Amino acid sequence: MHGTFRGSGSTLLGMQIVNVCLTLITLGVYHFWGKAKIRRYLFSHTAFGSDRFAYHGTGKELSQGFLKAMLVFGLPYVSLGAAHSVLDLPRWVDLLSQALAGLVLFLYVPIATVNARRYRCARTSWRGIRFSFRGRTTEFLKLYARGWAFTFLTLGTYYPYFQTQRQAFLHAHTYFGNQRFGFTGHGSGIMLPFAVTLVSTYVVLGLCGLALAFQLTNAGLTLLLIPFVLGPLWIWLLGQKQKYFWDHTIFGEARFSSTITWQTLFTLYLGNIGLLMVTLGWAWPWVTVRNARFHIETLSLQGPVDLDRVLQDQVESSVTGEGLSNLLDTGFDMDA
Amino acid sequence: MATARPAHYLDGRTATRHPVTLTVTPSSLLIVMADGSSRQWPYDQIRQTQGAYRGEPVRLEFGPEPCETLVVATPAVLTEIHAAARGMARHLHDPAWRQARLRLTLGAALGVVFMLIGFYRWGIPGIASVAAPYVPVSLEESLGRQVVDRLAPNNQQCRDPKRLQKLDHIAQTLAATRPVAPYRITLSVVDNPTVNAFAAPGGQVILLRGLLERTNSPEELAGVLAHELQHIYQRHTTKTILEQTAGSLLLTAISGDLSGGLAWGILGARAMGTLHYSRAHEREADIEGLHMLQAARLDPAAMVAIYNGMQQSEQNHQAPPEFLSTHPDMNERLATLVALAGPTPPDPQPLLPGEDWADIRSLCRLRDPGRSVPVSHDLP
Repeated sequence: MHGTFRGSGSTLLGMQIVNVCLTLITLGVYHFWGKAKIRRYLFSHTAFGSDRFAYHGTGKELSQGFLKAMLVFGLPYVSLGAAHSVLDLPRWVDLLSQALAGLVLFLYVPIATVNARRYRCARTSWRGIRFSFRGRTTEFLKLYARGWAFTFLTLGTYYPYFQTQRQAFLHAHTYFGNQRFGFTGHGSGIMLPFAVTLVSTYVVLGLCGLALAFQLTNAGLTLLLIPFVLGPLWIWLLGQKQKYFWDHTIFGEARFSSTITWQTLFTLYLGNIGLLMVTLGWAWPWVTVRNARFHIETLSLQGPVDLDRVLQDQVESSVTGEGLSNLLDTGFDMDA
Repeated sequence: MATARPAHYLDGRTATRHPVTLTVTPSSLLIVMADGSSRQWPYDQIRQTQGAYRGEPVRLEFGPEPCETLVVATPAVLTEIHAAARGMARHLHDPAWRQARLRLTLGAALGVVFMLIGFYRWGIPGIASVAAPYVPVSLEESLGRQVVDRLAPNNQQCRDPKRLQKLDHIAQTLAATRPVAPYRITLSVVDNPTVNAFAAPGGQVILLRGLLERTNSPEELAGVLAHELQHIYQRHTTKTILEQTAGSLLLTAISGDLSGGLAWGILGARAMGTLHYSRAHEREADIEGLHMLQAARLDPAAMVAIYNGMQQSEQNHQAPPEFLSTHPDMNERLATLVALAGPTPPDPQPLLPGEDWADIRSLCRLRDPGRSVPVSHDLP
């Protein structure tokens, strides 16, 4: 069973123009309704097998989620972060408020990730059956805090394990109806590509530093060359990571398979950057279509899938998570 | 005659697809299952969630969640429903309307362009002007103190009290023309060779040694200070913050959810907008500063003279084009000032009569007598 995407860049551009017009007229209020409309379009043009996905979220839910998220995270973060600009605070109070603002931001990312996924899964269906995410936020928070702590203590070595654990948590707590997805990966699976990328990055940056220190080349040229050398390397790692995550995701007896290679991913990104640069960003609808097509069409489900056994099993979700994700654009990472 | 169409039906309880046949009747959609059983969906109870755009199948839903769903490959079924029961199916998409979509989108694009021009030219500065008076002066003073702490740290300030008092007299002469303004004007001189001055919000003016030593008379310094004081009185810093906030919100509204893709264009637009508003503030500070000199019965020719000096040093260096600069073109600024200054007033008030200006302006040299005035192209 393969994924397909049939959306059109020109239709997406037209929709966004109308959205911008209505957003300006309503002084921003329509933004959430426009967003829901775009998502509905993208989901409607995404198919797995011969069936399309459907998005059931509404603008009203997105706006409510945003307002709640602003109250829970946005307001405390801005208040703590900007306190020193408004009030004459003693140095230690200022430092404490900055630290608390940092803590709010640190907590925001995992909480938003989990809750946005919970909301979006609950509002997505395929063949009339809703997805759901049933992972507990506290469990993910623990995983996240432990992951960063060990990553820090091991000077980055633990990072691939952390990433795999994160992905395992997100995939393994996702359901389609009453059937659970599974994840069979292990941190060591992406250890080698990660180590190669990290060591190469240190070597390249070290060589550039030496070249600058000994005035072997001028600074501008060296800095310009860094993304050209390191960009393909990190894209290679991203490709390896995405392929590994999907290849180790299972649904019942079947296993997902990704055909992503670093060459195709590199070509995609290069094309996207070229399009955006030439059009000063206005080619974004075509970039969105290219991204969706690439990520969906490199994905397939191999093995027997007994869809007749799948039963509807709805779980209620709060809209706050969606709003949390909007605040810092954490994003929906089903395709990560 | 009604056409029977193939479709598939999802019962909302299982993921199994059921092939069915659809028939459009005047009041409802007739669904005949493969086993011969049938069900009817009245049009006014059907919800359409897909099928409004080309390439989408038509998806119709019925009943409470988890709802029943019908998926039809062709939009012709919608055309047929509208033909059979127009009054009951207004909430369903009409494929005939797609012809008008391009015209409406072009109209929306035109509307966006006009609204953006309106917001950029009038909306954002208007919002900033209306909102700025409501920002408490204490907030501006707090912000100003942070600016002074950063730009004029104590160990870099020139503190000769006698000479500072004379410079302060010039600032207070100008401030006296605005007796009801809520700001207490204070002046700091920083031992920095750059030819520049800053107005911090809340009433503090920072003068750099390079600029002070460039002036040939107290009146020339008054010209510079009048410009800087107008930044304070016109609340330009507060307005800039408000303009940037409003501009960011506007650009967020345009970029919507896909700001990543538009990031480059957005950043460019934001930077250009900031520069545009900065130039507008500089023009206003020039004009109102000159009016302030006139109100204080000082000769505006001194302000023109110091701007003239700066224009001459600018001519020796490649300046960026005006649209990339925080300040308006110097020739334009000078022309405006000359036109507004008019003829020399009959009885201009002399500033610091009988004082040795060369001595006053050298207050920073008391610390380091060997320092020279560098060439700098920064403008106040």
